Amino acid sequence: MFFLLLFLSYSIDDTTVYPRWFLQMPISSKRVYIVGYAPLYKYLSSSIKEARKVTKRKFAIYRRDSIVGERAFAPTPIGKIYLGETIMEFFDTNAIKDIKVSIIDTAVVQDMVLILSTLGRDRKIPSPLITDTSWVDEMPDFSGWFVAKGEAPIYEYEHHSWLAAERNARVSLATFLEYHEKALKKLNNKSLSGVSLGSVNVVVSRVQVLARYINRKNGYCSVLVGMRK
Amino acid sequence: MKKVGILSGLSLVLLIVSCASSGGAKLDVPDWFLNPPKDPNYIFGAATATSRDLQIVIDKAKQDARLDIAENLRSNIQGLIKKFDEEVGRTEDSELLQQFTQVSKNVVDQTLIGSRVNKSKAEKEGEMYRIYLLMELPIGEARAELLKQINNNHHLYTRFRASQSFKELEEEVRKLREYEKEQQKAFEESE
Repeated sequence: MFFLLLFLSYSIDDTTVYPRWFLQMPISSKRVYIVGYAPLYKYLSSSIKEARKVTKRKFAIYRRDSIVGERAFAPTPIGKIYLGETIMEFFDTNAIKDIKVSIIDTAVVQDMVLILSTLGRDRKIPSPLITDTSWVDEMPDFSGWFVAKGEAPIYEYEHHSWLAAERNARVSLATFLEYHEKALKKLNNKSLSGVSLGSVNVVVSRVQVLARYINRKNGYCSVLVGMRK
Repeated sequence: MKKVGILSGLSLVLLIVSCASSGGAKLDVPDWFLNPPKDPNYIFGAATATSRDLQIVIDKAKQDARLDIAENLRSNIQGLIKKFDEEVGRTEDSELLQQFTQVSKNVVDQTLIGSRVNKSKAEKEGEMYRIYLLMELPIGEARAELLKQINNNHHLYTRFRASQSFKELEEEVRKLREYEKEQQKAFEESE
């Protein structure tokens, strides 16, 4: 019995509870599919309403997203110190009110509600582009796509983790497209000082989530995003 | 009785295996971190970092790896060696002390297009996150295509610029650019 339990504890996947369309996003050349998240409130309708809002916001980001800012570090003899960052996303919030989404599927996972949405009325769910989790360790190459991934710790409210990981993935994609690196490092026998500054100023559009992954053992989740070339 | 015997045997094997593997803390460092790949079409930069915050650890490692790549591409290292000779004591037992002080200053100013994480490995070390990361930069490839995505209209936020370190950084970058211009001019005149 002990060995059986041991075997089962290793064989159960971290991601078993999530629907497939959440982990491996449906991809179509004709339309985009977006997942909205919300906490599970007392009234499910409230959760869906909020998830729908998040979805509309994501559609606006999908259309056009400016990622601008800087990230600063200082080298010291004991390692690099993170000074802070000002990287922000800017998108057209005016567009949100005109976006009409249709919900294709919903799921309740632990304490959050997920909705799969698209624009238009086609309710068929196409096949995903990604069908495994090898992208977590090694970045894949897909012809016709620029891809990047972002991570976030697992927070108390898991939907915050996914939102943060998605945002970080978009920032990663922006820094992939262009990243300006400036650094000054001064070293002598007794001290190491200086500063390094990375800056990004990129406009992206049509960035969509391709896959998601959660690792409860190490306490983080990952999101892979892609932008068609 | 036979089942008990088999279970006891299995337990013994597991015990031996666990004892054998618990001889000290083993660092599980990926091979690609110790021996970064070599490819004529890419420059690689490997980095590792630790922090309690996952996002900070990723950002730190990425910055380190990108800096490594940027330094490989082109950097301006100004070295200065100061030698101090000091004589201590009287003639018969005098001791010549030579002290070397090496001062180096490294300035980087580089735009990276297409730099991305090729491989990564994240793990938890107690309360800390550790990440190993391999960053790659394509040389030439896809650069022109990516430039289309750039928008230079936004220029925001200058909170960092207030500090002395950043002023010094800007000054050094300005000097480097001037130096490059002079070099370019001198080269053109010599032709």
